[in-house]
Formats: sequence, structure tokens, C-alpha cells
Amino acid sequence: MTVAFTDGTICLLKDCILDEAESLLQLLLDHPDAAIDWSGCTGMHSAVLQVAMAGRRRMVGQPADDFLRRWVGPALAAPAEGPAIRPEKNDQSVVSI
Amino acid sequence: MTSLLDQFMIEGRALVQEASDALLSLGQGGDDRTELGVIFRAFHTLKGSSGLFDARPMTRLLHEAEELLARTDEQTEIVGPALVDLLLTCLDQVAGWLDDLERDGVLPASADLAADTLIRQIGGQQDKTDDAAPALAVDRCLELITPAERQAALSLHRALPDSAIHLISYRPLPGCFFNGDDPLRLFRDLSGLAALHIDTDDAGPLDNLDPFTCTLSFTALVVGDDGWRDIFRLCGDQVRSAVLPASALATGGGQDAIAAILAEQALMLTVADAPPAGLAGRIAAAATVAANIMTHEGRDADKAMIIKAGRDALALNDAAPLLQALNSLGSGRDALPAPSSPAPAASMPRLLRVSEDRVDRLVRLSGELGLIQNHLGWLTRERGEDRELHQLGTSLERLTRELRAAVLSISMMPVGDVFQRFPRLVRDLSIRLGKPARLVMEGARTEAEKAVVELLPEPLLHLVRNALDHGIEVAATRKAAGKPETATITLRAFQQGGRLLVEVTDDGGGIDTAAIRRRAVARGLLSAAEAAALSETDALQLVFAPGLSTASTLSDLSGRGVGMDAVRAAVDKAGGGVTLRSTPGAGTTITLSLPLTLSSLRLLVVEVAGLRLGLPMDMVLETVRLPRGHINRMRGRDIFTWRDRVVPLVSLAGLLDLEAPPPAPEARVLLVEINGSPVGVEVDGLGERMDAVLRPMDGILAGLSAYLGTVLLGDGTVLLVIDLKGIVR
Repeated sequence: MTVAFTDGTICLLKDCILDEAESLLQLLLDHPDAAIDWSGCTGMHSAVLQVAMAGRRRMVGQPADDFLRRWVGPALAAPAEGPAIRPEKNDQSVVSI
Repeated sequence: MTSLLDQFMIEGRALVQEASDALLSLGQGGDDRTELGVIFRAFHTLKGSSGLFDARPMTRLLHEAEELLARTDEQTEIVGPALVDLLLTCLDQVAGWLDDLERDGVLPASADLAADTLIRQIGGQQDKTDDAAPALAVDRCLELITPAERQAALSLHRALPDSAIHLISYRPLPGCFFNGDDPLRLFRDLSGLAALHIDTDDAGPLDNLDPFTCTLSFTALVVGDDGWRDIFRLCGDQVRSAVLPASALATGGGQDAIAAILAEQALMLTVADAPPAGLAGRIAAAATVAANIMTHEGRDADKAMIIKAGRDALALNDAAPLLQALNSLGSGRDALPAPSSPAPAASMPRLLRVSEDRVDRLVRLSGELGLIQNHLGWLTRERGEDRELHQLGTSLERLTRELRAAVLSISMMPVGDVFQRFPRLVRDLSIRLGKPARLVMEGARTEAEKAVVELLPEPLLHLVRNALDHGIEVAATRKAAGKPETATITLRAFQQGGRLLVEVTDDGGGIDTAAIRRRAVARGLLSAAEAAALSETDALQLVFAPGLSTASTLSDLSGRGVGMDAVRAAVDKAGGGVTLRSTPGAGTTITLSLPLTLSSLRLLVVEVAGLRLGLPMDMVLETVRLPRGHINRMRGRDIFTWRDRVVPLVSLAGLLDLEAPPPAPEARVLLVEINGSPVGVEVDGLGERMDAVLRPMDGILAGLSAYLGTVLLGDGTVLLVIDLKGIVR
């Protein structure tokens, strides 16, 4: 098992393969408030990623893996940082009268 | 109405206009790709903004139109007239809905149905474009890419000679996991990845989630050669890509330079194959550079955060805390105040969006201030021993004058704002009438006060319709006459002698004066003898007579004989004039002449029969003293010679039915221009000139046609302002 629940936190460990997506989903459903600690994660199947994204949980720690930290991190962090609905960007306060 | 909705009204209408303009200029020889970009952005922004309001049908329609455009984006050859028409119709619908939203706050009940109808038509168009491979909506993808990522891609691009910047959009099939695909894995294997955005469609509750149906989509920037294609070779049908020029990523401006430097620091920290021993040095360098930037930007809190993160990273011998801090700087940049940052380069003056009511209020208030100042000026002159008071009065007068000039300059707008609706009109009409025509617009930047420019649409609409409907011949006739089959209509604006002149010219057949004479007789406006006696110029003037139309058949466009009459009435009301020149076989030019401003009127005070009356200065060509001996009588009218022209002379007292005083040896005569010809108007004396705010006649006085309005003078008396045009016939 590379997806586990310990001390109130869902942990992703080592390389989380396709089949783990279902386990992760179950853990997310069983523990609606649990954060996800992914500091021990070294790889992640797309299916696991999309479940983790849908869970919108607080992510704990940083994985050692460059790719995960740099490119996958923002996708997992984004929903937790703000509401799902982003206000319309309006940096154009300009127009003549 | 909420301010957000207000904003959307202004922005929405501007976008509709922008998209229409761009649609109309497609295929006109410009860069269609640029125009398509403009159109796409306008639809996209409209859609995004409309989503904030209760306007679901509008959002749906715009979404479909945008999808259609996204497919068309790379294939300009299929943007045919049918598509342009359809998109214009969509924009019309959106413009209509914007009006509904503004008025009622909601869309009408019929909106869904209207949206469905248009969406079906769009569907029809889409089928045609589906044969071609779907293209990548570059603009939409690029919106995802942050400035830091753009800069990272650019520096990578610079570092790798012969590299290209690839924009990749990958949407795996829903069932791809069952095929053994792991889409994320593909990106791990890519070299030269400069940006990756992962999105999921799944926003619903977790218990509905099927973990094995792929809902992910990826947008990436990859810098390098075509090697990425090998990695994606098994799912090529799910990938759309484009090679971007470096300029597509360049965003310019100082903030981007800062983002670039920050991005470089982040990049330096994530270099995978650097020796671990050097990590501490890299952390220290990156932290120092970033902290220096923050010092320069005056962002002290961010600087402290960077320094702390740098120390943490050094303590842990791990770049992660610093990376996180750097990333937060990048994303939080817009939200953070930068108090001491230097002002952005002043290449473009900053424009403010202000609602019209505020400007109108400013105009009104500055007018009132002018009145008070007039009064004060009069008081200080009356009781004028006090030097200090006098000086103060002079300063106030100067400041008031400057203020009013400044306010007037705010309320100036270019006539182009009115012109811009005409390309569409000409296009539609020329198709409906089957007369090929093109519109040339000149002097669109010519400015006049808003109130003046806003008078133009209706008269111009009449004139342009007339030109197309009556002025321009059918293509066959034109060809026979040796003219190009496509007719030209010219809208031209310019300033002359303190007035705004707007001309509508067509290269059609000119006005048939014989037909006008016949029609005037048939309508009982003139007797046959009177009609025959008219000069060519006077016969042309008949087109302004109420109830006269020269078209042989009435069309639904114009030709009800109210057009020219209405044009003259609208222009006259604003103290303007209409003149007409026509050459048989070569075309017609109609010129509207309007004052540049309506809010402030330069007046000349005249005395007549012991009364003081005001006259708009811009009508007065000259004032002359005329010895009685120079006045002759001809056909029962007084005339005199002025600059080798015979000019009729009328007495203002006589026109107003006032008792004229015994004539002085010399007559004081104002030469005024009425409908293009000079007329002498005799008055008893001339008074001062002034700038005044004209109040239109209202209440029981509104019916008095001889007066334009009233002006409140400094001493509290009221000056009547005469409408000379209305009384000199």
C-alpha cells in the first residue's frame, strides 16, 4: 500500500500507481477533513492525481521529487488557496470617455 | 445597478464594437490573423464577463461562438461571408441583451429560445469546419501561462540555440487509463518543460467521482526541438500544438523583468543535475537577488519573507522553502502594493473610465460657476474701489475660464465614435440593395463636444442611406457610364473656422434637378412657372423641403420624403447648417456644419428698439456700418452690395415686430450666414461679447420659435437669445 491513513493524515508514499486511485478516493470520502501528506511521494499516476485534485485538501510537506514539486504541486495547491470561483480578472481600468 | 454591472455594460459594448469592427475588416487586405485574434479575445472576454451575471443564454451563445472561432482560428480561408454574418448576428443579439440587462437587470424570457436558434446555426457552421483538424486556441491556452513561466520559457529559449517554443494542449481520452496510459508520466519524460498546467473537469462531489475516467487536461510550454512529438506519438490525436514566436510570450514592462529575474532564481534552485554541494551557494545567491529586488520595489514585508525563507532553506539544506517563497512572490505580485516603486514609463497617458453623468455634472457645475463668476465680476466693477477685491475677481475670472476650458476638453469626443457604426450599415445596405459599395472614412479623430457628436448619428444615418438608396446607381448603370462598379461613399470630418464640418459624399448620379422641379410642382409646393424660374442651386435646395422625395419607388430604407427635412431640422436646432453640392453624373456632397460646443455659447449682444438681445457669435461673419445711400430696393426688398455680392438686408426690429427708432444716417449691419448665403441684419447698436450658458426655452415659452433660449446675466437680468435662422426666411 502506498496510500495510507496515519495520525489523522492521508499519506502518499513512494510511487502511487493506478490502483491506488480507488484507495485514495475511499480515504478522502471516509475522512472529509484529513490533509494529504505527500512528502514521501516519489511518483503519482494520473488517476491518483485527479482524485487528489478533486479532493481539494490541504497538502502537507513537499515531495523530494523535482517534477512533482514543481509541476504537480501547483495543481494540488491551487484549489486549497482560494475559492473555486475566481473573480474575473479586470486589470484594465482604462478606456476613454 | 451594481458597479460591476455598470462596468460590464461599458466593457461589453466596447467589446461588441471591437469584434464587429474586426469582423468587418476581415478580407480587406489587412492581417486577418490579427483581426481573428481580436475577435476571439472579444468573444472570450464577453463570455467570461457575462458569466458573472444572470445571463446564462448570453454565456451559452458566446461559448458556442467562441468554440466555433477556436476551430476557425488557424484556417482563415473558411471565414467566409456566411460566418461573418452569423457572428455579426450573434453580436447584435448580445448588444440587445446588454440593453435588456441594463434596463431590467435580467434577460428577457425569450433569450433562451433566441440563443438556441443561433446556437443551431453555429452548429451548422461547425459541421463545415469539422472536416479540418481541430486547431489550437493559442490565446486561450496562453492565458494560463504566468509571466514567470513565460520568462522561464524565454530564458530557456535564449539558452538553447535552434530551439523552438512549443505550446502543447493535451486532453487525454476519458478511457485512456484502461489502455494503460498515464498522461502525467509523459510530461515527466519531457525535456525542456517550461510550464505545465493541469486541470480537471471534475468539480462535483467526491462520491460521484469515477477515479478511472480521465478528466484531466494539460497545457504546457516546451522549449526544444520536435523531440516531444516522439513522447506523445501514441496519443497524437489528443494533442494540439503550436510553435510560438518568442514575441507571443514577451509581455514587456518593468514588472515582467522582475518576474523574469525571480523566475530565473527559481530555475537555478531546481536544476536537477547540479552538484548537491553547491546548493547552499545557490540558495544564498537566489535569496540575495530576490531580496534586492524587493528592496528596489519597496516591498519590505516580502523582503523579510525571502530572507527568512532563505535562512530556513540553508538550515535544511533544501531549496524548497525558498522556492515556495519565490513562487508566492510571483503569484501574489498583482495583489501586493508597491508603494515606492517608480511610476511606469509614461509612454501612454493613462486613461480613466468615467461615467457620462459625472462628466455632464461637471459641465453643468462649471457652467453655473461661470454664471456666479459673471455676477461677481459685475459686482466688483460696480463697487470697484477695492483694489484687492478687484484683483481677486480677475484671478477668479481667469481660473473659471481655465476650468471651463478643461471641462470642455474632457467632454470632447472624436466623431469616429459615431463613424464606427457605418461600415456595418453600408455593408448590410449594399447587400440588401444589390449595389456594391465601399465606405471611406476620413478625419475620424476630429473632436467636438460630446453633445455635438451625439447629434450626428441620426442625420448621418439619413444621409448615408439616401446616398446608397438614391445617390448611387445600380452596378449596370455605373458600368455603362464608365464608372467603377463598386461605388464609394465618403464620410469626412474636419474643423474649420471654429466649427465641426461633416461631409457625406457619394460618387453616384448626382441629384436630378429636373425631377425635383417636377415633383415639387406635383406636390403643390411650387407652381410650374416658379419651378422653372428657380436657379439650379435653388432647385437643389428643394430637397430640404418637407414632403419631397425624388426616388421613383419608395423603399423601406429611405425615400419617404422626410429624410432631408429631418436632417436639416436636427442640425438647425443645434445652431448648425446643411449645404448640398451635386454634380450630375459625378455625385453629391452634403455638408453638415455644427458648432464645436453647445454648452458654452459665444454671444454678441445687440440693441434693437431699446431691447438688448443675444446672437450666437458663430453666425456673424462681419459687422459693417452702411451709409443709407448704399441701400437699394429691388423687388420690394432692401439690398446692398458686400464684397461684390448682392446681399439682402432685413431689419431685426421689423422681423420681431418691434417699433424701430428713426433711422440713423448709417445703418449698423451684421452679416450673418443663413443656409450658406450671407444676409445683412440691421440692428440699432452693438453691445459686449460674452461666453454664456444657454438655457433652452421651457414651460410656456417653449413654443416661441424666434428664440434659442435665455442667458442669465451677471446683474441678474435675463438676456433673450434670438434664433436668426428661425426668423429670417
